[in-house]
Amino acid sequence: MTMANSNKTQWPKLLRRGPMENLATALIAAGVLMMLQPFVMALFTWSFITTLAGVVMFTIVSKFPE
Amino acid sequence: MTSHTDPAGLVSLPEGHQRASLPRVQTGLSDRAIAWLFIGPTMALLLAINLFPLLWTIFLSFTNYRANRPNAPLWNVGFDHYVAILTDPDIWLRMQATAHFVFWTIALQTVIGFGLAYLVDRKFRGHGFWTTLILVPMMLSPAVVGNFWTFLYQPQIGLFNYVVGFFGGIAPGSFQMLGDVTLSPWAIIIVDTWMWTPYVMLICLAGLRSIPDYIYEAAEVDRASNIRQFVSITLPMCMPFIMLAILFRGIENFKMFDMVNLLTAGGPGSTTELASITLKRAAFEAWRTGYSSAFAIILFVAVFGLANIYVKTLNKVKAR
Repeated sequence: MTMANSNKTQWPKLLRRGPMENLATALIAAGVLMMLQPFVMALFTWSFITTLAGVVMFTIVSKFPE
Repeated sequence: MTSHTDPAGLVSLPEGHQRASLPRVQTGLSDRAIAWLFIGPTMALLLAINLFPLLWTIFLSFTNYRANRPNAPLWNVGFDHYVAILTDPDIWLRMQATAHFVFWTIALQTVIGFGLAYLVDRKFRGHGFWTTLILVPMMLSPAVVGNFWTFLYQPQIGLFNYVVGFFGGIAPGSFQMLGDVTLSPWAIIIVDTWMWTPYVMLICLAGLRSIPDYIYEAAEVDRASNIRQFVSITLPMCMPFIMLAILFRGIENFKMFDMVNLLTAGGPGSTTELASITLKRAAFEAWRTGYSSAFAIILFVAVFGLANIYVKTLNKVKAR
């Protein structure tokens, strides 16, 4: 068994790159929408943190194995 | 090349055998060193013009620095600028103006751009000439576009007012596209749509041309109507390309500055003051460098996030 295969099997299924990237993308999209929406000021206030969390998460999970 | 044999006398040579003098290995740079030598200047340049300003802006965003008072004592203000920006109703209004601009430009450019691509994709006489003609606005500088649309929007002599007056049956001088609070946000949307629809058209055209003919032929055999073919084949297969265009235009328009600054400079009042114009005013009119650095970082994070999604979509398109 190669190193790559052993890594693939040991890596938690929940932390695979695809779903985690989708989650980070959703977080970024939510943050940007919160920043641009005209309805609730509180959403605008928290938009930066949400987007930043999404960006940091995306940067980290894009290094995860498929 | 393996020229070294028995360098330390580890292998015993037969008696009487003279050790041959080895050719001297030419000492020089390794492949890795040469590679670094070539990419080194580029790396240094990238660090100097991309990374350093970013890190410096992040640093300034936590200080009270003002560029017009460089010798004033520097204080660490922590997250005060970020809190001030994110709780400021005026900034929220500027973001809404940006959202209005981004939403409508993307909607119009996508619909018109896709429609044009669909038309240009059909073979007709002189379609090459028309395609080139449609692409002309995209090739112009935003500064030029801003200036000549200012003339087109002139209430007295402007061609735009004349055409609207001619078809609408109203006096050309009865409305001001750039001076009216209601019309000015639409004036900048019209100009951006005029300029960048060709770009969206090009991307959509690439999408349309990537659909193999045999899929349509199979649909013809199945007696699928034109509308059915459009809904079930053309639109789904073009969707990644349309998404790409939407994301790219979204990112570009989110940080739109030059054209709008030339057309309205944010006016009348602050109806067309987009986020980047607010940023410029805070940085170079109010000289609140620390505050504007924090605002720049907030916008940067949003654009960087959108760019991540853009790259992800691009990879999907590439994988097709």
